[in-house]
Amino acid sequence: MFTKYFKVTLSISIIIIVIGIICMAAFGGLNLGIDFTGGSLTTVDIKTEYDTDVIREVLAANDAADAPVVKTGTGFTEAEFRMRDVGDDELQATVTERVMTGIQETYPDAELVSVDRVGAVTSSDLVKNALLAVVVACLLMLVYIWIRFELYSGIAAVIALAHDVMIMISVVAIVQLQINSGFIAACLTIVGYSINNTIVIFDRIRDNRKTLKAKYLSYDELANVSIKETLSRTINTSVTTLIMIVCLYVFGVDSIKEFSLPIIVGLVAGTYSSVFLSAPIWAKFMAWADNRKKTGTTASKKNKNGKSGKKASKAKA
Amino acid sequence: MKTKTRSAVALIVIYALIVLLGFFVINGVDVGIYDVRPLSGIQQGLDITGGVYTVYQADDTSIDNFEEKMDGAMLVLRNRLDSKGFTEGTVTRQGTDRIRVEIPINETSEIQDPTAISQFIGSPAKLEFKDPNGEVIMEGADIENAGVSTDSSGKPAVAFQLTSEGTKKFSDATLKFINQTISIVLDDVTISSPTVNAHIGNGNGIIEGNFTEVQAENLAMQIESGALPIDLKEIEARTISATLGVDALQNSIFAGFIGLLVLFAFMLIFYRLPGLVACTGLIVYTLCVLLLLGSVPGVQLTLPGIAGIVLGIGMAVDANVIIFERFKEEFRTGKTLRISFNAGTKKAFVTILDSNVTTLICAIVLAVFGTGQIKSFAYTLIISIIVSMFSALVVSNGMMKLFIGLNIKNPNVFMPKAKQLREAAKAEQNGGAA
Repeated sequence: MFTKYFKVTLSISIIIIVIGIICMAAFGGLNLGIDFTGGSLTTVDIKTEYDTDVIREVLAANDAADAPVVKTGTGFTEAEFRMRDVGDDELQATVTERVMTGIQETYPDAELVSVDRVGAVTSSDLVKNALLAVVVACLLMLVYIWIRFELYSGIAAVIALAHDVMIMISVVAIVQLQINSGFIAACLTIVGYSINNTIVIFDRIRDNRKTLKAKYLSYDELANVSIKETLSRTINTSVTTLIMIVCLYVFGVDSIKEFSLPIIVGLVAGTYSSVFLSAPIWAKFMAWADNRKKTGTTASKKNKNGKSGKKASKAKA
Repeated sequence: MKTKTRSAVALIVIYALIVLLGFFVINGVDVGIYDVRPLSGIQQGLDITGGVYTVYQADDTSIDNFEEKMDGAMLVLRNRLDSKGFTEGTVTRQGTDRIRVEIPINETSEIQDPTAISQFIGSPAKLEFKDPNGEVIMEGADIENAGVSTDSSGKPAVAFQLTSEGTKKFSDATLKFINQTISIVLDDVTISSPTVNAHIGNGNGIIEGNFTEVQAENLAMQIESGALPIDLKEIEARTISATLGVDALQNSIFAGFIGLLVLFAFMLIFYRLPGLVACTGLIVYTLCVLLLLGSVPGVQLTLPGIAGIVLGIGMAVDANVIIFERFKEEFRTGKTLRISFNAGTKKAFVTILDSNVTTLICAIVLAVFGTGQIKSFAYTLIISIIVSMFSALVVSNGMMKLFIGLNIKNPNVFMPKAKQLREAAKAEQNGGAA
């Protein structure tokens, strides 16, 4: 029943990813936060003890609450905050001026100390580094799964993994959620988490192939049985993880929300892909490989109707 | 009867130990002169407790490839922060010729003196080996790795291993200048001028220079992270407050607490007694993670980090769920509770091992290749994977065996509808026989 709708389930994923790509093209990429873009760093001398919330409200009123307000200076009487680049210097100056007037309404002695350009906290190097690390990690996981299971399981698992992260990025692009460095951590969490679900199903397939009845099952049927047998575990684990992360989303502060929403998306995508995509993809790969072997090596085309049970037991490593 | 009492006693002891562990983690203990406080040992990130920032300015902006050198300098600063364990520190470009480094130094840090850090971070560490004529033989970049060692008189020194290219340069030089002196120059100051006694072809060497242990350690780290490609001057150093309020931290802890309660309710309703065991395992997991976070260097607790731990709790249940589901399956085939559980655990073990090892591979790669935040995240992930395996395979598993040892007559305590399942299995067996 799971492999039967493979075309439908795959299409749903592809459609979401395509919409994501269209949105990215339409909105000019992801809605990158100040961690990625950099911007200006403004220092204001308040000259007295103050409440950061006041400054934050003024910034929010000017649509510039991009980063937290930090206290600094002797006796913490100075405020420092970052704002995203607004484009040209003139506009930047008016925004700064408006923010200053806003602050002076509450703290009349406040004085602008400096406005400085700052680069991104999360440099492109960090992103490149993270990407490189993920690619290396995927390759090593592929090798491990190859050794413990088989090559096609590894490939299917990595495809499912890439799918989950792509769905995450697509959804973030579609809703134009502002992302900061926490998003990288969120993606990495999903990379680590999603592979778990997939492995559990592949483990069951490996187990089921050792039994006698496996001989009479096609790869599709084998995948179906294994998915079904692990389904209550898949659902329960996903529910427990979701309970925790939804609580974080509901009760957490803004920066936690910004981090937990993509994880919720990734978790759902991960559960979906391990049930509806990874094992069906594996079954397709195996059937394809068997067919190729058959047409390539032997002339006998007797069991060409896909019931490749004999091969299944032979291919078991 | 005997196993029954033994199991009951063992369970009571385990729960008592867990309460003790909880007390130790939360309150800490005083043992003689030692004052162990695991929770306050956790280093906190910039967002939670604040720290210091230092701004460095490039001395000379007119040099060739200025942009490239600034990028290189930022990378070196990043590496030096990581090597000191400040993975959550940030390095940003400010204006055209300045670099801003923010370090989470506060009362929880091992290193308390901000100036010591900024000196370590900001000193160029340009290392040169010069021949008797003052020509440069090789530089710090030729060194593959460096570490602390001791010289012949037992004083701290820096031992190094050269790259293959460096080995060749050094080999040629020691052959050419035998019985002459080679000077080792750090930031234009000659720190030692050893006489070449023999030809050195293996690329190993030692730098002596009347170092203290800390100086030698810092120099080794600096050499490894590479010399700063540009001269930097410290122009500003100030303290900054936390970027998130105290409420943010309390908020997340509160969220985790609520989540944990809902999770417990879910597990108890769904899995009954095994659910209770899983909950106990989770408590052990949470306590152990908190304990380890304080003792592993390079882990700084930031808000995403806390979220990661909270999420990890959800993931740690997984191993328990896998075991219990297998247990149920085995029970359905008509085996006794004890045999079902043992068979289920045996099968589940392979699953848990494979899925966790795969994630562990991922985490280790991130820890090795990642920089800054990613490194810190990977450390947290590694800790949570190992601890979750321990809590599921040792704690929960052992406790389940003890609970089964209590010889509880009603199997419904272990899973819903157990009696019906057992009867159905029996009927099937009888039917098959008849």
